[in-house]
Amino acid sequence: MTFTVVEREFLCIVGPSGCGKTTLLELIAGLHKPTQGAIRFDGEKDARGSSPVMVFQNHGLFPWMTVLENVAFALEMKGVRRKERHSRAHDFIKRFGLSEFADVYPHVLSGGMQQRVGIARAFISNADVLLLDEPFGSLDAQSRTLLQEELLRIWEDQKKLVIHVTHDIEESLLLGDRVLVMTGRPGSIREDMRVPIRRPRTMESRNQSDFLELKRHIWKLLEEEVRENLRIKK
Amino acid sequence: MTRFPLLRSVRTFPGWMITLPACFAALLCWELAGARGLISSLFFPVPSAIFEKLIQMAYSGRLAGQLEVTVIRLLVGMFFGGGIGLILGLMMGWSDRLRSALDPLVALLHPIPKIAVFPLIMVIFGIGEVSKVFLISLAAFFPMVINAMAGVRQIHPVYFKVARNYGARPAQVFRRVVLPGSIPSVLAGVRIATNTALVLTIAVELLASDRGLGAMIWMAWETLRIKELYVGILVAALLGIGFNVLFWISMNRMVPWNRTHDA
Repeated sequence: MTFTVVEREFLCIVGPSGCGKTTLLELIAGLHKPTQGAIRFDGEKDARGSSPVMVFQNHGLFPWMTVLENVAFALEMKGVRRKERHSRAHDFIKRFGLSEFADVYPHVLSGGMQQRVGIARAFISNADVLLLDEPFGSLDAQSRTLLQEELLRIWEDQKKLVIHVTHDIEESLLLGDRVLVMTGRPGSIREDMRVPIRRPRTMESRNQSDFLELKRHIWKLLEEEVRENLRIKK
Repeated sequence: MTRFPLLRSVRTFPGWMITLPACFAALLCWELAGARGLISSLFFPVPSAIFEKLIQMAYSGRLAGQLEVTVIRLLVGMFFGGGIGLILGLMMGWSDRLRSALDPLVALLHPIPKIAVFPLIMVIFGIGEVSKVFLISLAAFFPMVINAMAGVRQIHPVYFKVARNYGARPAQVFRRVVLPGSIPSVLAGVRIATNTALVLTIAVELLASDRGLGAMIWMAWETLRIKELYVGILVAALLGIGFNVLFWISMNRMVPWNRTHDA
């Protein structure tokens, strides 16, 4: 499969479980070497300028580091001195409204807050490309809604290239400039579509007729495979 | 609940408020049974008599000298055996190749009762201090290597991915992921290693030493000084308890992100 993403674009990849979405992200992140094909940055093979940073589904925060240390880790790996990275991480955490939790360990935070710290860590790294692997997958629907809106705000503010993997069709339409619909075995792209819904998007966007139309369309593309996975006949 | 205030307060007692009286009650039973002649005071001297002997030996300096010898042997053994085990275990947990090479060897040698090797070690290293410390090191080595390795292996792979994703070099992965991630298991390993090493220290001293707690216990048996025998056992037990308490404290100090072992 082949696709191109441009600077500052918000690309969503939606597809059923097991179609290889996570593997795709890990390939882009450089955590695996592709057996075939190539990933090009600015036309150059494997030339990850500032390498893409990934936000993992869960467990992404180091349990042995405080919230502050976790966020500062992105800077630590770039060789930023302790004092400076801590003060920069502090500022960043403040913007996320997490100041009072700077010195606690992740396990005392709720799943939603942990994921916010994970996102803060990814954004502070100042990478040009951010890879989000179902960051809200394990959260309850209400928290997910609010975090989606927050993610949109940060992205509007920072304008990075984001590749966001999800199995939630609504989420992909709410967030993405473009949606790639992926199907599995072998992983391939069924459709590559623009999302014409105007920004800024909010909860209300979900009820617009064009939104619902797209949602129905994507569901049609995926339904057959999901049925097959679950052995539910029509 | 409010109808049974006593019941509720029992439930909210801290554990030691039950443990301490229970221990005291057991000692009291022993004392009374001895005083009334229900048990032979030759084989089972009463706690107060043992305690008196302990104080007497402590004052004369005899006990401290023996204790010192045992503790030094134990610590030197822990230093070499535990230290090598720790480093090797961490490396084996981290590197698949090293583990494939050495794990079968460790699995093969680990089950050998270490004390059974002692005569062989004496043949090789002579009957001096080296043989004793070597055996104690051997006893400390295996729990340490196994726990350190397991500690690294149970670190969730995602943490390695995150570190690599942010561009961590191997030394940074070691310091920020391997080391902190394996600490709980490593500390458990230190505890088991110390306990095993203590058993071996006493055993070696019983077998082939004229100094140390084990030697003291053996001498007490040979001369049928039963109270001294009890004192020896008591001090060896206290030594073990002391080390264990030390580990619980360091566990909570060094693993503040995981306080499940508080209880």
